[in-house]
Amino acid sequence: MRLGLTHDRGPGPLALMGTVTGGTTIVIAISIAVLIWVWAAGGRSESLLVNVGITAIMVIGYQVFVGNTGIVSFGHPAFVAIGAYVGGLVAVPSGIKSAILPDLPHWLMNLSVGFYPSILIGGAAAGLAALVVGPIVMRLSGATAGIMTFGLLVITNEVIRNLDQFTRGTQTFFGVPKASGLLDVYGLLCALTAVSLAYKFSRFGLRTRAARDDPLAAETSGINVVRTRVGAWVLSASITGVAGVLLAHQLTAFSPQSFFITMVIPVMVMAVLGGTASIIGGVAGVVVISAWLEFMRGIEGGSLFGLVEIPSIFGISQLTLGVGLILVLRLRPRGIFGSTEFAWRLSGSRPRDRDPDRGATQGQGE
Amino acid sequence: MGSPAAGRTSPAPALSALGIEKRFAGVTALDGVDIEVGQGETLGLLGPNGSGKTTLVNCVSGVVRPNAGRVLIDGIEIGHLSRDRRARAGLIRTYQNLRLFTDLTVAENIEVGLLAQRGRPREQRRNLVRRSLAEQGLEDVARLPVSELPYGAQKRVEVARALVSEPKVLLLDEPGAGLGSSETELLSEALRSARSRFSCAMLMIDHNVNLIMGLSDRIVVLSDGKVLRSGTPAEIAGDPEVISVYLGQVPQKLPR
Repeated sequence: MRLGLTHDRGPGPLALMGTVTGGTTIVIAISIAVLIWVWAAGGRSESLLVNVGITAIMVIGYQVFVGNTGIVSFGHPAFVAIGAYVGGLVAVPSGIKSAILPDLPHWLMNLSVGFYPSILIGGAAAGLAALVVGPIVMRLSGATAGIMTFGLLVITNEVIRNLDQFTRGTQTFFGVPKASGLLDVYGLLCALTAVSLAYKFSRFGLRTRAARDDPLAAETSGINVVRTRVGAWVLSASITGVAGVLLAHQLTAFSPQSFFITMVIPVMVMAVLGGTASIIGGVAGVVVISAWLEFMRGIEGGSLFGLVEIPSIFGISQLTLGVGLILVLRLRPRGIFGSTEFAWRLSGSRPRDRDPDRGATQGQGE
Repeated sequence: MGSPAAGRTSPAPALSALGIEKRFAGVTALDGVDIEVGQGETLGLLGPNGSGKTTLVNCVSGVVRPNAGRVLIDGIEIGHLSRDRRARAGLIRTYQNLRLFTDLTVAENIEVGLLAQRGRPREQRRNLVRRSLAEQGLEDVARLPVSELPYGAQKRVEVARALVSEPKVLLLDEPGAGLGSSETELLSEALRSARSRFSCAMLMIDHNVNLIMGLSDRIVVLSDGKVLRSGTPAEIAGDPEVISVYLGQVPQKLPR
């Protein structure tokens, strides 16, 4: 058994399993490394790494829609917000709830669910919201659809600001128990990676990707383009909603302006850097950018691991990040991984099963 | 004009396009064209550039909406259906300028051709894709992104994607364009074997007269958006008016 890069799921159920578990294995390995790091450092960077894990889930959720449909979304913070508010609302203990949200309906006032049920509810709420608006937005394509998603974000934001009874309006919403542990976040990250890979290589994902590459040819091949896009949109929103609930349980207090357009930019950059069409690429984008920013922050602070004293230069982390992005995308316009994923393959596989590896290394720069 | 419907009384034609009219901003591309393709029949569509061949295929497949006219499959009206529902009704087409799913692999491109029909088990899909890859000699490149293949091989992928679902009616828009003679031979062979295996009706446009004459049961010649002649390949080849229409457009010789 060995891990290699692949463009498709390969023939047969075993190959599909190898493809889904391949990328997941990498993410599990990263997660274990993170846990060991935090354990070895005595929990010092735990909070930072929880945030990184939540961002990684956001990137995966973003990839499921943008990577498979080719439509750029500016609206995903709306699903983070819906996940955070809905998941947060059902998780706030009743006692606090009666103090901060006195006008809640009776049944909601007494409702206080645990961490995992709140994740399910928040994710489902975001998915449901996407299902309601999806059939309208997904009729559009290209930049128009992208702008429409931004419109959705603006609307969601306004609704949250005005639903005082449930959200405290523009005031800070607080009282969510701090429950997003490192193990929970990274466990969910691994599980959602597997879900995204399974979707990408399922017939639903294949239909969506076909419609991304050529909508007209997809239609004349019998694919209902709007329906396939709505499928990706809803799955993507649910995953993003889960990230929102986790964020609520990490921040414990937040307000509508916590979830606006600035939230989607780093997510977008990470996805594009790694390769929008690749799930493992999204994860790679998170790892590379988070590590780089952390590293540069140390330099900005005037020391390198406390070993070398250097003059502090403000803004160097952002500056180098910008230059790095331009360089990477100049050399690999489709991101680090293009549209490839990792897959487990039997070592003695036939030559043509190895072809994708060759394609992955040779044929990416277009 | 039109074709004599005699001898095709019992089953309805696989494809009928009746009274198709299409105007683009004042230019009449199709001016009341009637075409019928019988069950299992191959109809060749000839005509000079701008005669409306591709527009007719576009009208039938729903890529453009005709201003007037009806489209029927097996006698059932499909003119009001969306493109994807026409495809699910068994009407599949190829494009003159390749329209492949460039980021998908060869095998995935072909599998998409099977996804129109819901509820086909995965095992069966896999076997059909494998057979299709073998037929077109694409096994060795099955898992490469289709954009990495040379033109001729991409053309074969498009034909494979169209044939794999065993469509009732197949519309081929210049399948032989840009192919060398040996590649054209392979194409011809693939279409023949498809026809004998699941007897699909074909409407084929091509400028390669040898390809068209070799495969077609009947030929319709379009000129200026109207049906100019209809007949067997032999009749058409000797028709002075057809020759003059072509000579008016292509001064060198009767196409290849």
